[in-house]
Amino acid sequence: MKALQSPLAKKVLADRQARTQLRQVVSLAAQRGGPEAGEPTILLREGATVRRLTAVVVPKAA
Amino acid sequence: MNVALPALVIFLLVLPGFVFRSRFKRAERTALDYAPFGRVVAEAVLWACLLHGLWLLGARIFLGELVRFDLLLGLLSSSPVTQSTAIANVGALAGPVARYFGTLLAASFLVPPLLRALITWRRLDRLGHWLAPVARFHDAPWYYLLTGADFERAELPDLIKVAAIVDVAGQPVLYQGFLEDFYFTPDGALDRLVLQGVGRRPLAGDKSLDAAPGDPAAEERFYPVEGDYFVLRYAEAITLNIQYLRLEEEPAAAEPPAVAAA
Repeated sequence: MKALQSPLAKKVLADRQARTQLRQVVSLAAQRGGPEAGEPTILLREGATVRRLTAVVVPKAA
Repeated sequence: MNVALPALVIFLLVLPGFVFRSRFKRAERTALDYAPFGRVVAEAVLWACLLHGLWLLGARIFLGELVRFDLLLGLLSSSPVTQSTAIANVGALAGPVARYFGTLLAASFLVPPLLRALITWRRLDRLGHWLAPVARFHDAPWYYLLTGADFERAELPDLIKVAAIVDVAGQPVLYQGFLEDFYFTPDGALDRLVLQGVGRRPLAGDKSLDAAPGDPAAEERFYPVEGDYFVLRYAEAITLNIQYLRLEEEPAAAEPPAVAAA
């Protein structure tokens, strides 16, 4: 069964560099107990444009 | 050959309920339904009553036909004379009876997947929805956990991070990755998780790294696992941690440094 994965997440995971950055961002945020100002960013290249993304933990559904 | 006609009639009456129930439920097991027999029968009979009620109402409104309870009771009777008379009368109404049960069985087969799709699409089964006690598929806990079906559509996360501790040669190793797919065993237990972007680290090294905060070596403690997909067998995971993540676009003004690609 397909797990939860948005089209944006699919793009990030399909991009080798962005995927590595996502893993590092998540790993660092976990060590520091959450994202901080000036945290590293995930760079997603879509043609000529570059999107800067960050990963935020979402609380579980109430 | 002797046929227990009353039993056959009762079977025919409740069959749409069983068909509807088996097509409607979302269960994670595929081989055997381990649901208690009493629950299965109760649900099927309830669905059958509901479907017959709807069909009889439809027959009354659109065709002007009324149910002949006298014939039904005649078929169930133990008196051979009454039963023979009822059989003859039902035989005379073979067309309408066949149409009734034909359309009822066809609807029992075709409608449940549509109803299930509607529930999933409108998220009527998510935790906290007022229809959840009725619409929720209680036999599919992993489905709700790993597909985000409990979130409102506007609050849906982008992906799921999975962290699992696996015993590798007697040493606990933490694997971390992003969930792509998951599979069940035929009896409904979680079988394996397919992950992407996986990293691993032995837990044994945690103490020394934690003792040196700010050490660059401690910044990135996971060793990347090369490959497109990583298959994690659930039976081998000692613990499983699930985290929902949302990818947010940073404002263009902010120029934080990008992480160097590995």
